[in-house]
Amino acid sequence: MYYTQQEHHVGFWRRYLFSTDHKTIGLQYMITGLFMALLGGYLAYVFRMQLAYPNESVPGYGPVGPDAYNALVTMHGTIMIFWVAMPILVSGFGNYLVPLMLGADDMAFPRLNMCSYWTFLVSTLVLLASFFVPGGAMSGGWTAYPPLSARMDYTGVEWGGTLWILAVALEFASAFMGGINILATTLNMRTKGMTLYRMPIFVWMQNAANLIFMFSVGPLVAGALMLLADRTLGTGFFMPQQGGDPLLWQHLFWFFGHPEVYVLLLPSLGMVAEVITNFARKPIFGYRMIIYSVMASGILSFIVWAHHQFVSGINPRLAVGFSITTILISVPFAIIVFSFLATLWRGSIQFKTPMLFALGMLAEFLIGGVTGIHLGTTATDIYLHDTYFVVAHFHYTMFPVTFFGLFTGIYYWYPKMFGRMMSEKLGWLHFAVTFVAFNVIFIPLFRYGLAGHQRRIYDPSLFENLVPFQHLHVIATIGTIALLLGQIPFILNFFGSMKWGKKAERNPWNANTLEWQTPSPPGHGNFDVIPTVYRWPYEYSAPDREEDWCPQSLAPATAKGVKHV
Amino acid sequence: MSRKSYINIYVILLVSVLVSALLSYFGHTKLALVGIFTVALIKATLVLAFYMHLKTEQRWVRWMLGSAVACLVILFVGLIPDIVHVYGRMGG
Amino acid sequence: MSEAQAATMDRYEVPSVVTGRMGMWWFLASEIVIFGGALVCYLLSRWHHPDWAESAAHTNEVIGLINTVVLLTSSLTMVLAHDAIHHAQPKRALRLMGVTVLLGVCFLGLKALEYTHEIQEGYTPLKNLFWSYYYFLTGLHALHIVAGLVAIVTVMRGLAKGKNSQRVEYVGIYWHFVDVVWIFLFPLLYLAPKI
Repeated sequence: MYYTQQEHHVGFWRRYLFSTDHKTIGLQYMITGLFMALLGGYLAYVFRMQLAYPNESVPGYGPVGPDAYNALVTMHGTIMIFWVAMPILVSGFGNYLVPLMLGADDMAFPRLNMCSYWTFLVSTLVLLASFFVPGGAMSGGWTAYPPLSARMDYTGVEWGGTLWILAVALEFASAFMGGINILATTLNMRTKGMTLYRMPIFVWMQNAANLIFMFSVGPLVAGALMLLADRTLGTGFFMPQQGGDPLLWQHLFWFFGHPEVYVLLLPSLGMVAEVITNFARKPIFGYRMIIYSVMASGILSFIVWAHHQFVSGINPRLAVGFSITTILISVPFAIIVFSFLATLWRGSIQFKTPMLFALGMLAEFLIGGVTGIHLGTTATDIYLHDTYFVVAHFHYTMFPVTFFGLFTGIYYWYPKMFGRMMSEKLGWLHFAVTFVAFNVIFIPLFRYGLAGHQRRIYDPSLFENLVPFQHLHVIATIGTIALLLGQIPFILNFFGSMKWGKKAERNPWNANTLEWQTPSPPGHGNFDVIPTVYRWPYEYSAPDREEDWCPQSLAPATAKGVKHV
Repeated sequence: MSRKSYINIYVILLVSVLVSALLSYFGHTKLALVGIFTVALIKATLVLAFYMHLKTEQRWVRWMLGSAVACLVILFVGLIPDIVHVYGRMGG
Repeated sequence: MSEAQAATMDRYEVPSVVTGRMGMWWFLASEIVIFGGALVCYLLSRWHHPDWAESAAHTNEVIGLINTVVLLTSSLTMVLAHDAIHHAQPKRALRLMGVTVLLGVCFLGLKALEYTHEIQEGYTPLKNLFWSYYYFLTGLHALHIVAGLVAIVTVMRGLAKGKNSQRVEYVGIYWHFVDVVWIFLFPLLYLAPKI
């Protein structure tokens, strides 16, 4: 898979397992994340089967009781956010691409990087172990609200909950280490000529995401230690009887939880930006405006969190403030999305697979975004909170961000990572099924959520008012199965192309960013010719040029025409 | 910074500790409370500025650390209505 | 600067802060939010529970005061160690770092004595929520002291072999941070309740 450029013979273990090379580490994160995605998807299949056909044994699992249901939805959410989205979007693509896009040899702290992946792997194993301990896996919701989560006898889950907290804490530690690396690399390891305003949007997004993560997760780490103490030692940090306050946890959790969704969104938007500029053969519209909007939304993301707590008994004065800031935060994101649309306008659009997923991401995310307004407005949220409307909303944001985003990235950068081209036909099929199936699952959820269907109940047939909507449960479940089956073309494509795909040259997409100047795949040290940067990355379809693209590192003497920033 | 300056700062720090200890023993008012935390802030500033050399560090580092503190202030202020001033919640 | 640093000056855009120190600042930023988060929780809960004053009066301000002096002194020795490196005196730096470690161990020893005494008096982490917070905050701080001592010893070992003298500054910055946290914990947990 890789070749080394220097006389640098490392054994199998050092090269593939204990590597300090950012590319290997990035792939390790991605592969672990993809594996966990299969697990998360399987969990969704099981509980969706229970919802569609209550109390019938689920093929490939068995009967699902109320406790099992709670554990399934808890672990599905936890895995998808912390073991799929974070490692693939932030750590995986971040590690792989940022040094390459900056023209660097590796990350600033390669050994810390390796440590961060291994911490992440340990966290994964701890989480997987929690499925097999007596009492089973954590079942208090991915939000782990106390008092339910603070006392083992409230759920009957003993080790499972404790391991869950430990796993999440280790995952946070891993993300911290990664964040330090990305920020230090971006500030100190840009190749000559790469000023900050010549960096690809993806790099800006990665840095913003890691900054937001670092500044928001701290209080939750403290809170998690307190929750751990409550569970294992019997302290009362969140127990009312002992003077503690369950609402304190909620605030600590959402103070992080809300910025976290932007931590996931930004790298995904970054990948979409790189892909749409390339496949529209147009410069990005509003480069600086996008960057400033990202900064604004990053700052705003710290003052919207309690919109998750409108019905928790929070002070109504607080609620009004948070409602206003929540509506306000849609502005910078709208600017970003509209800038992307303006980028596409009058472009020469090529419907290659990465572009399909990028466009799909934007379209679906838009729906998710606008339904957020209903939830950000206190008055409507009071009705919609804890209904499936919320579930539909966050899946219309999180699924495009995570899955359409990672597919955009994989289809686009696969030639660089593995030196082969993926099949376009299989890619189109994968996109078509994924896109349709996803909507088949979640449009019904908007419908019955609006009708008042509450979340987190294992058997809707027990509720008279929900029985008329049972057919929608069946539709959503059929969609789930279709979605999971629809990933088979991707898996075949991913592994098959490694062996039988057409060999990829350095720059199969005629792209401008620096990673496309390296061999496919890049060797240790990345660049056989150290690049110097002369322009920004979006010099597409410049009127005075012969080619409709112009790499950042192409010297001006050989490049004809207009000089840009 | 010279060795002598470091030692001078150290003496100021020691004196400050003594002052705050005395304040806590002999003060009985809110003013004493304000006093000991002001002293703490001064001590922290001295260590940050001169021992950690923040005074001569790049400006963005100070702003970055300040932003971290700002997040904490937001958290604190945002939680006061819910954690400090609770009405009628069990155990509250 | 080291050879590696000189090499990077030609390869990359000139950095504003040297990478090693910058890494430490980013790390401290995250530590600020973690410790600060814990402190915010304590402050809010303390404000909400005026009745904690009675419990808080039982913290041992004498040991607290001694420990504060111990930690401040260790900060002095640590910054003098950095100063020694600056003046190309690695042996002096090693001695000063050795004293720093000794003082750190002293701090932990006194803390252990303090905890033992408090537990014997019945002030365990489960006695009430104030004591839970007390052990949580001081315990978290003590863990950071342990980590700091391990880091300092690691740097000392490298320095004794003549390597990586620039790390003295970085580990020093971390050590001062642990001191700053204590500068706030001391009045919060020991002095304020006595007023």
